[in-house]
Amino acid sequence: MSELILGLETSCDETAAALITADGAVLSNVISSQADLHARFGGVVPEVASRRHLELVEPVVSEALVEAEATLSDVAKIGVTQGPGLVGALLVGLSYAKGLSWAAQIPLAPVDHLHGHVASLFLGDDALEPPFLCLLASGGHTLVLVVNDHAGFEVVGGTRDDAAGEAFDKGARLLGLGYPGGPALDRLARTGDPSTHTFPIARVDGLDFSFSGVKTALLYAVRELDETALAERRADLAASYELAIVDALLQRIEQAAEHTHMDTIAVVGGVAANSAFRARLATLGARVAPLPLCTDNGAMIASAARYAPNVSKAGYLAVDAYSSR
Amino acid sequence: MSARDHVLALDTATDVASVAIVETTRREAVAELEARPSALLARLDDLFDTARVEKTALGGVVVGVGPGRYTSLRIGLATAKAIATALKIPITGVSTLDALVAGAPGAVPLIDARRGEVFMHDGELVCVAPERVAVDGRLCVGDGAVAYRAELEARGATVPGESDPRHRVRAAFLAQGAGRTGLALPVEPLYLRAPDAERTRKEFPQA
Ligand SMILES: [Zn+2]
Repeated sequence: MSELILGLETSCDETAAALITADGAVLSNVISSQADLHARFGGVVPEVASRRHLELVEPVVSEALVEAEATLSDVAKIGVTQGPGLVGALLVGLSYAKGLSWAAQIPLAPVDHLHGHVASLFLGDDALEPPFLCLLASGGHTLVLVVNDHAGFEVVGGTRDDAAGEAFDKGARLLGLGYPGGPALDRLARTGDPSTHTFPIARVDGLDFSFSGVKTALLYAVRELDETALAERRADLAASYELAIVDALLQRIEQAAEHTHMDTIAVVGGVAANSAFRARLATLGARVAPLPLCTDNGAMIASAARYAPNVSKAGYLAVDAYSSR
Repeated sequence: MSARDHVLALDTATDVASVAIVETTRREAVAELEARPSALLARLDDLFDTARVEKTALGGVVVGVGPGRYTSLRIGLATAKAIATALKIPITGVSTLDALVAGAPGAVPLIDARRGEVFMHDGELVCVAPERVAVDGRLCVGDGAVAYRAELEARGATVPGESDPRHRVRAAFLAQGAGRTGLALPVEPLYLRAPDAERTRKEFPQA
């Protein structure tokens, strides 16, 4: 079965590798999160992330191969994240992938991380077929995309300031929930009443987002409370804050769907793991990436590589990382 | 047919990466070149073409583990690890300072650590200001010696001209050194400094 695709992802704080088949079945999807390592700094420290990627890249790739019951000789293509992301972190995965490609003579496809998130929808038995409208919401990005084919997308909206996932993380920090805050805020919000506070979301032109205002509103709300009051209201604040962001995201997707005349809506990225958001998306009939494919992972990179054009050897040997698009 | 009688050596600790294919029995570089660390693999491929050596002739990989520039060290180490894994051959780490000394026996090897400091071997690996290097009129080599020439010469050191080859790390010497002295190091960069955030945390623990 020399038809497998190996996907490797090291753009931020997850070292991840996966093997998929030529028709998009996920055989393994190994993710080693560094979240604990960065927690005490309250955010991702690039140098710390790069060091960890170098330690983990080899064991993670080898575990992905073992779980898939495959060896490198079964791999027909290697997909690797080229950017956007932390350049030092990207370079670890990219250098490793290039070294494997060169030594084992396996074609390499440099993959755009954002395309990778979209391509998470092309995996598995009920893969989504383009065209569709896609919201990519993560800690680093909030984009509205028109996906007309498997190989790319068109950006029709984005954030003016913070990404949605960043808004969740910053909100969690204001509420004293630590890092990474998104999942902690999600858990706490389930026990709170979302109708207790109103956090206005700024309306901006077009299909863009702005999340800096809602974060400031939460800051003011928290400042007004003493420690005891904050402890009592924390869950309500989390629920109300979460509702404001989720509402803003949903409003925009629906507007975008109307504007672009697209019937199928899909959501990818780490924010798609938020339980309140997932529940609302379900009622909307939107497609959401399966949980293990929402946060950064190797399977989505392998999936994007599946549709990426083949690069000549000279081309991929010279390929370099990029921090932003 | 494919006697594994060659070793691939590479070092990316400094701004100039060095790559060599070394014949094992004669311990001689059959081909070597310099490149930007980011162009390492593309040039490596050229090297095998010009040397007419097949990858299958490689019996091992030797990689410089620094100390040096962290990002470019990681490029070299990730590349070297992947090649060794794909070819199923052993990999050895060697100190880049040892490679410098191999090219300039008796000299004090210094690698530029930026921020007014050099990496050096002083009983143990250290990162110090050039003023603290015990030079005693000795020859100093490496990009650290070039960067802090004035400080070192003021204290009686001899520093060859900037284009002197003894300042360059030659990967061929890595392979020779590893074979001869058996000073194998783990294949991890020699980080002599904690990441910035870590240091800030120690200095301001409440931050
Ligand atoms: Zn991502």
